[in-house]
Amino acid sequence: MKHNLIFVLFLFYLLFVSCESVTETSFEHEYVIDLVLRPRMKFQKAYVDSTYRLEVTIPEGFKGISDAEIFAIDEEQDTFEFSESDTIGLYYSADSLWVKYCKQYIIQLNVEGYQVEEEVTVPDSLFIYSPSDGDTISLDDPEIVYWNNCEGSFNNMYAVRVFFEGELDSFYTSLLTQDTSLDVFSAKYLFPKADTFYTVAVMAMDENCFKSDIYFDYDQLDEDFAMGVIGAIVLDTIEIWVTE
Amino acid sequence: MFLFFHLILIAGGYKIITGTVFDAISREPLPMVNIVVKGTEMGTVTDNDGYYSIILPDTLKKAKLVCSMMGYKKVEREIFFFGKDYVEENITMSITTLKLQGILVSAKRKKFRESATITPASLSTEDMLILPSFQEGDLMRTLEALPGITKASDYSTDIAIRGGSPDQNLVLLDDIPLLKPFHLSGVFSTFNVNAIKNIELYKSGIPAEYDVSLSSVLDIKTKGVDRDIKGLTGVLSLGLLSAGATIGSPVPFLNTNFLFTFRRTYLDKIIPDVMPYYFYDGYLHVESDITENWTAVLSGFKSKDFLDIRDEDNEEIQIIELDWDNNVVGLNLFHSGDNESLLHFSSGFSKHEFHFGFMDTIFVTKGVIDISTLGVDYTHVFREHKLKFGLTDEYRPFKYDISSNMGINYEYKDIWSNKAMCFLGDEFSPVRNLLFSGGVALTHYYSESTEFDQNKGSFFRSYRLSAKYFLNEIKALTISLGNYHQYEVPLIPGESEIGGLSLPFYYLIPLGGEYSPEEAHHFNLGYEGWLNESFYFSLEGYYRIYNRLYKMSEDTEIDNENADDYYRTMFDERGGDAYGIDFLFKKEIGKLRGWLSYTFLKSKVKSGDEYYPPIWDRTHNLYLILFSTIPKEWEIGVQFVFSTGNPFTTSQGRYRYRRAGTPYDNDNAIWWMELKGEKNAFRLPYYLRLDISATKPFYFGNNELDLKLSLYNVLNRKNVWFYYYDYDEEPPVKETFNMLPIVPSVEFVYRF
Repeated sequence: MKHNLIFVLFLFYLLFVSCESVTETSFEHEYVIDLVLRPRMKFQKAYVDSTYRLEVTIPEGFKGISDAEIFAIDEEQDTFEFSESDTIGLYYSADSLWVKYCKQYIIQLNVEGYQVEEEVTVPDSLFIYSPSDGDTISLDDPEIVYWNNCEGSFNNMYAVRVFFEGELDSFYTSLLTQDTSLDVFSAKYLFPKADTFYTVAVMAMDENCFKSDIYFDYDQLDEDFAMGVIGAIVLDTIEIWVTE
Repeated sequence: MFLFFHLILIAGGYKIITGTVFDAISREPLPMVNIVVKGTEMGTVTDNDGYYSIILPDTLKKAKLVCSMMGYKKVEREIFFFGKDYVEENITMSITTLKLQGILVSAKRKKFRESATITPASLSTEDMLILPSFQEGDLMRTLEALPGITKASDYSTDIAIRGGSPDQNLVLLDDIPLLKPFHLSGVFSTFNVNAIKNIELYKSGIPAEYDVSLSSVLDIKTKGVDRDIKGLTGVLSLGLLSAGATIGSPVPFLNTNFLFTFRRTYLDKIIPDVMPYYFYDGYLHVESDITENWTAVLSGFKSKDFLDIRDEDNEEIQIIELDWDNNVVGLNLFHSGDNESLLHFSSGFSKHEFHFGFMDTIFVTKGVIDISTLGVDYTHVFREHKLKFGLTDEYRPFKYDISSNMGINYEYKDIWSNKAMCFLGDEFSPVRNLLFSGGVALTHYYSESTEFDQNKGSFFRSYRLSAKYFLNEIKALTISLGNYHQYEVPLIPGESEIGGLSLPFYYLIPLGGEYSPEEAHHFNLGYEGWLNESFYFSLEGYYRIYNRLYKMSEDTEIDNENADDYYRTMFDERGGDAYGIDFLFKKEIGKLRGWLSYTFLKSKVKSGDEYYPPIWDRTHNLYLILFSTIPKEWEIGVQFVFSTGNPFTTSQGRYRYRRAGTPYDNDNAIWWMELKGEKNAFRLPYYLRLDISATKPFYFGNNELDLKLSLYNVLNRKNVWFYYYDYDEEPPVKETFNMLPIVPSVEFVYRF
């Protein structure tokens, strides 16, 4: 009887120590901000969005948060404002020529009483000097792509991407290099269709953009209430007719 | 004798059957075998040479002989005369499972009496052959059924022992370390059941000489050939997965025997367009008595995995290429002196190689880890002591190449580590019913790199203490404690596991520089013994504390320009603890055999202020294994598994991720990304599985064909491996990715 009692107590002990407090799924809303300065682009864009609970239905067309105030201040203390577009959550700076290579900017963003401020340095200019735009390249006799050394690129890294003409999601991945040349056309999997135009882009990014774009680490803002990326990218592209 | 039968035949009116009865394994003649002619009262008994003869009336056209002897399976043999008066029929008889069980049990009891620690969990080859299998009998999958072992998924045979990560298990094949002994990223292990003699799993009271892993030692010994066998012996096997052969023979004039085992998958040969993958493994065991006192054992092992997936439209485009090799060669020399001393020299070389390529150049990696070992130990038994001391040295050079996204290349080379160890252990009985065991090991560890500042040379001490108090002849209490070190850790993003899969690339990094070796302390209390002749039990409680663990840092940046900075940020130091109870209740003898194994485990990893359970942490684990022989010689095996679900990290929210790096002015590419919650804070639903198998032997003369049918996950329960969200719906729908469904398998094993 005594042994049985010990055994029963032991079982109760096991059940007791097996109980675990299950952490509730805590969800705290955060703002999601995406603002990447790009010289030579028609518009500078910024997105102000939010995180969402997984089980919440997001209405079609609902792209973000309106009424945010966004400013960029350059080294000369000139201020450039972003205006809200017709698409909620998307903001434009119509005059984009203020974004210059090798310049620093302070980005200020106010949304629903919260303020985000980030310093951004735009890398130097980047040009692909070989091959030339419109060239034809055979995959059996690939040419190496060359570009200039770009100051300000995070860790001297360059991302090289290949797109079908105009198709945004057509690249598989970024080819990364610290050199200023790459044998892109020997990566045949990037050119699955022959006799087609492909766009080859070489990019230099600041640290925030690199980590967001290459590591998919979208938490580049040092704020508890906001995540996303505020940074800068410079790039150059060439269009190449690719044959077998 | 022949003349006598000839005279009888000339006299007429008789038919004669003669022959010899042999043991199926040793081929030795069996005396005193009872032979009767079924349906008559005629019969005889074999003589000292196993010879028999039976004289039958001339009217018989056929006769059924029934041979029986204690300890052997009954054999029935039908004899047709076909007009002849004289038939010679040799018969082989196999030892009964009961007798085999008896031998195993007595060996286990001997070990129980002689060791101060709880008896290491062991498995017999027969267990592995009869247990329900996933395609083929698999050592690692069978091991799961022992207490103290958990795992993260069905898709891997990588096991975690008492809360420790899989890389904390030292796997020894004939005393040579073996790294990542898996096929198909862990779905199958490389251990061919037909090549293995025995397995011992040390979870507690691990001898001091193995102070190179934090969690356990799995000691696997390959099989030789019984020297009493005459001629060639072997096994041919064919399953849905692979075909194999085992060939062995004694070579009497050299006092040597050898056994060679090989298996290979074959679907790539039959349907090459569908199956771009194969693996093979082979073992060689050569054992030779050089003199009366000296014995040499040469072991060899090779395994290979090869996967080559190419673009269907363009074969030049490689999608995945995997090449994964393990090679082991070892030589052990033993000198025994009048049962009181044993001198053992060991030397071995183990090489683990991998090459993995994804999409030609997006990710290409290769690596080589060599392990060279040299050791000598001496055991001497005197008075009440069993003293053992020895010296070992292990040298490991490492070389890894990683090429990512075409332009990023890392080389990790000219790096090596060396562990020189001396150890001393003693086992003695100071008073009746009490057995003590103690051991110490002093290891000089040195690692060097020309690339990173990781040079390190230091001495590390480890100790082991165990005691066993015999309550009576068959029951005992045990206590053991010790400290453990590990000098190399794997570099794997996230954790030391990816959803329980073994990755095809394995970067084992020697610790050096600011990283001291990992360290853990074990404390165990146990109770084991036999309730009667049939029932064995063991109950062991344990507590483990991990003072120092290293996991790949989440902040490691492979693009770090400075190699030293990269090495310094490579690992995060962590800690942790684990406690629990292992319970085993086993019926070892009888027609119905099997075991009940229960594991209670609570393990936590400490990372900063955060504590979380590792993904192989299953609080309750219950295994019920049953074997039984039913009429018509069918052997039925049943395995029932029930356990707590594995921990997982839940997704608590989502956000739009906009990829900025496009050259166009239009909208950015958008994907939904998920926000992860507290690490491993939730558990998957409970895990449940029922497997069954049926094995039947068929006899062809002296040979045997076994047919084994298995059903894995008979209930086809959808055990969850992980959750994901389907973003084609709004809001996204939570979906499950399940573990293995019901899987049938058929296996033929021909023994000769």
